[in-house]
Amino acid sequence: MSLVVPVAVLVTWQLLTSAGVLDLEFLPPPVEIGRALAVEVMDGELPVDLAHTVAVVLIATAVAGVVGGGLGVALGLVPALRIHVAASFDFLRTIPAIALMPIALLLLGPGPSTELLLAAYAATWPVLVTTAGGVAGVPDRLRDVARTLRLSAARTVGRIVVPAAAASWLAGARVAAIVALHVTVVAEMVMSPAGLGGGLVESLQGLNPPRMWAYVVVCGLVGILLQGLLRRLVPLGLTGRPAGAAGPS
Amino acid sequence: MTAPDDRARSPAGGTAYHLRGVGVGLPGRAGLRCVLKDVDADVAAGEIVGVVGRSGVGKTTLLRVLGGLLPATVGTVRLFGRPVTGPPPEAVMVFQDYAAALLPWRTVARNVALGLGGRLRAGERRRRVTEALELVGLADRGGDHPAQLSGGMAQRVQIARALAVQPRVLLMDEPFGALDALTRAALQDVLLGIQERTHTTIVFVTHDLDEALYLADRVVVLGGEPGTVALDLPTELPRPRHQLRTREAEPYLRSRHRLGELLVSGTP
Repeated sequence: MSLVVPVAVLVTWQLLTSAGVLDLEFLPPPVEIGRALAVEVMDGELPVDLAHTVAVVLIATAVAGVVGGGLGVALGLVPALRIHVAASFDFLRTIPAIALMPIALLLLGPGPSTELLLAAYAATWPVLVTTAGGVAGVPDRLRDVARTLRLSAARTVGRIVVPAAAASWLAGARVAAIVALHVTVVAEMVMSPAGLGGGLVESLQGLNPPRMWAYVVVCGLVGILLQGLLRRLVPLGLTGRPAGAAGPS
Repeated sequence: MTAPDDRARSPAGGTAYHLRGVGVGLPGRAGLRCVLKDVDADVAAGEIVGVVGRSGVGKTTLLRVLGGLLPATVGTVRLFGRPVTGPPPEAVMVFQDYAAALLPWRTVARNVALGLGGRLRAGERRRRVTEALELVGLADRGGDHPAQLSGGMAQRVQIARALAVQPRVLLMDEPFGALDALTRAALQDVLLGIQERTHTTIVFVTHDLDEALYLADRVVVLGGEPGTVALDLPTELPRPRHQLRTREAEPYLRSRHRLGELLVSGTP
């Protein structure tokens, strides 16, 4: 049933453009976009571009998961750290990562590593914030349990705090993947002629609207697949939890 | 109020807890709010002591002091002769809210193993877990997750987790308060059975006078504001206890009357 609206939009779009009612020079009908997509997949650069973007997004998300998770745990555990660092972090966090792109480009030059750095940077924040929240939100009762059983600080973190914050961490990672995708595509558009973003700009400069649209469709598909994948991962982090007891997301 | 030093009558002998002039202030809106004041009490090794009192009188606070989870603001707290400055190695606390005190992502067996750190070898750890689960009658549920258990079973898991570290003292905060009457009676007998075998010293808090009398060798009543020991009453009931006969015995009814009088009217 959720497909009714998109299908209706596509059909209307097709009818309007092919009947000449909607006659914008660079708005091709869906059928033409589909044809361009097929051509690109068969013998174009699309598979290579797709692989490039997906690789950057996945690595950036993984880096964000580790770095954001680690910093989030540290920040959640040490209130003093939170007080001293929170203001600076909030300042950094509010600068759009995209605004840092020219700086990164000048400092590091164009290339996949700059792309990766920017995407990982932007994606780290959501993981950090949710993980810190999850750690700070570990119930007092569990801290009592750790104390009465005389668990060492390391064991308390490893056996209680980290598992208790896992759900928050995963929720952050889900946001991070999408942020990484956004930043990666923009970075590719701005700096490197690689990936889906590079393909989009190439199509724009080559005045090839059907190809451009085909790339847009693929970008959307990547987003949907990433979300689906991570949504499937979240329940794994919640093993054995009573319903409704998931961490804050 | 209390001078029970000579009351040590356990097989192990000796004094477990020794409290003199204990007072606790907790941070409140207007600075420190005095919750407990001038608490003197002793617990003999192997003894079962029930703490009762109106809600808000400081029962849980006292138990947290005994468990080293909360420092006494003034006074002396000693366990087996040593001052309590943090959670002592001999004592483990069992909390009322079993659902919040178990780790939902760990199986029952791994919850029970939580306190068995790297000090033990894997084989010994497994043996302790099996033993503790057998003591509480959950030997076959080790692979389940807490969410799959009833309230009574979950509380038994928490008790097993405490027993696994083989404590000399078990501190229990309203351990059966959230359970239905039948489950509660069953668990009371499970606890008494365990104590008979392990001779663990038990201090528990309850709002249920009958539970206090049925389980304990001695009932300590906290009263007043700030709370202090208002009555220290030996139950003088024979062991093993029996859910019906014990509760119908003459000393039981006499003590019940005394406690009821004190807690309902407020005058000893």
